[in-house]
Amino acid sequence: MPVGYAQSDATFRSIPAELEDAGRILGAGRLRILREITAPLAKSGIIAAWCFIFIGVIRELSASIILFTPSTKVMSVVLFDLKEEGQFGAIAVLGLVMLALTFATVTLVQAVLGRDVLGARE
Amino acid sequence: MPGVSLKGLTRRYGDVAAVQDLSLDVKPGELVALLGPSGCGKTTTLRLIAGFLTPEAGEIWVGDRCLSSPVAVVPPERRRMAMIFQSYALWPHMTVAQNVTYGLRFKRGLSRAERERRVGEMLRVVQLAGYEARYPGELSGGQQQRVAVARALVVEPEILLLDEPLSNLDANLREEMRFEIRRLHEAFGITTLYVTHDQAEAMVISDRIAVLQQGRVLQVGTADELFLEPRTRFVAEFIGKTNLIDGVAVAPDTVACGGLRLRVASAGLEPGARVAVSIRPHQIELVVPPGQGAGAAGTNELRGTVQRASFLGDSVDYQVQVAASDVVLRVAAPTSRRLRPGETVGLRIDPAACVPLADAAE
Repeated sequence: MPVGYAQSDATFRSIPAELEDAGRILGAGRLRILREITAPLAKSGIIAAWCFIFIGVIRELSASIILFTPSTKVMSVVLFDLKEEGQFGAIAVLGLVMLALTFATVTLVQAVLGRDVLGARE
Repeated sequence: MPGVSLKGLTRRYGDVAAVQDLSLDVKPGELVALLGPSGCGKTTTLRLIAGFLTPEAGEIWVGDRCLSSPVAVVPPERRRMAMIFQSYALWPHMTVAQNVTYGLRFKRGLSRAERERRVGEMLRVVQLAGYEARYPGELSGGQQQRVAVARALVVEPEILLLDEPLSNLDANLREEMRFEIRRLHEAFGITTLYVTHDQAEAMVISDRIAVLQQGRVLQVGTADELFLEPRTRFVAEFIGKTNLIDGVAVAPDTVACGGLRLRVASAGLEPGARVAVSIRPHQIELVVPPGQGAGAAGTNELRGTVQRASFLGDSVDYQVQVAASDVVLRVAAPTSRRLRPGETVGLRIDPAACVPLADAAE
């Protein structure tokens, strides 16, 4: 939470207020400015922050191990259970799945973001 | 086409009054420059007019609409104004065409085809036809500026506000854009307020100039009026170069400074009062040899010694020590006759060129 908040906050602060003022004076209301100017400009920063948090959360164990219920086991907890049972083959497979999932997500975000940033800046 | 009327505006930041009891009338279709050094409150004034700030006292009227008062402020989007920012504030995620079209989307009863037609026409006016699909990041500074101009003018605003729009351009382009903005103003006739700290820019572009200092309007007038008849020391020094002489009035139309007696362009001075006199360097005539010929009756005839001469290309800048006083006058003289340091010269100054100022030195 704090990390995500700090990063998003920085993103919003980096958007010059004049970009919003320019929209207001031309006739756009606050909500429209948020939707059409602020949000698109903040998008890449927000997604990057989400990506950062996703990587941290998917391998997080310390809080999950206390909070999980049998019906809401997350991957890191399952891995821990398997280790207790000594099933190292399954651990290896699940570990690879987790790795693939993370890589896929990051690659996807990079691809989408990369295009977006190129489109806006080039 | 309405005018703008500012009545006793005040706005503070913390304890500091950025704008203080500021009043100004802009006539319909007029271009008025707000001129002053940084921190004089000119940008705050513009933001008050745009509705981004609420005044603590005073009112803003456009035509017969009261747009701002301490109790009620019409939001910026309903003021029918447009603004051009110092940073241009173009949206980087939109193309040139999208940037320019944006304001038109809030005008009712405009078909898509009509919007496109107006945007195309406006881009031709600012000489950017063919750039519709570019992003702002792909344009040069001057082109970005023209997009900002197009975006503001295409909505046909009642009032146009410009906040130092030329200060990010290089010197050549800036000069070109001055005339460009003046041309567009003459073509569209929109009531315009133009904030700048550059006196030459204000003189070229505006119908009238309001000189601001510490949140107050010191003097409003055409460039000529401010240059030839400054009322205060600040205005005299800010608009062009000048000589300031601090003295004491000895007669209703005469000021003394040491052994120097100057007849000035006023007959209403109170003897004994401290007075500062402003004399423009180019309004002093050098007479060589001293005493030759004769000026009109009542002309100030002084003598002095050239201390320094600097050749400036189109004129020579002399520093002349006036005899029997510690006054050093700067004189801008034609290059046809060159004087050397140490030479004695006569100085002839028309009393009309000696402007007494309201605020003498403390």
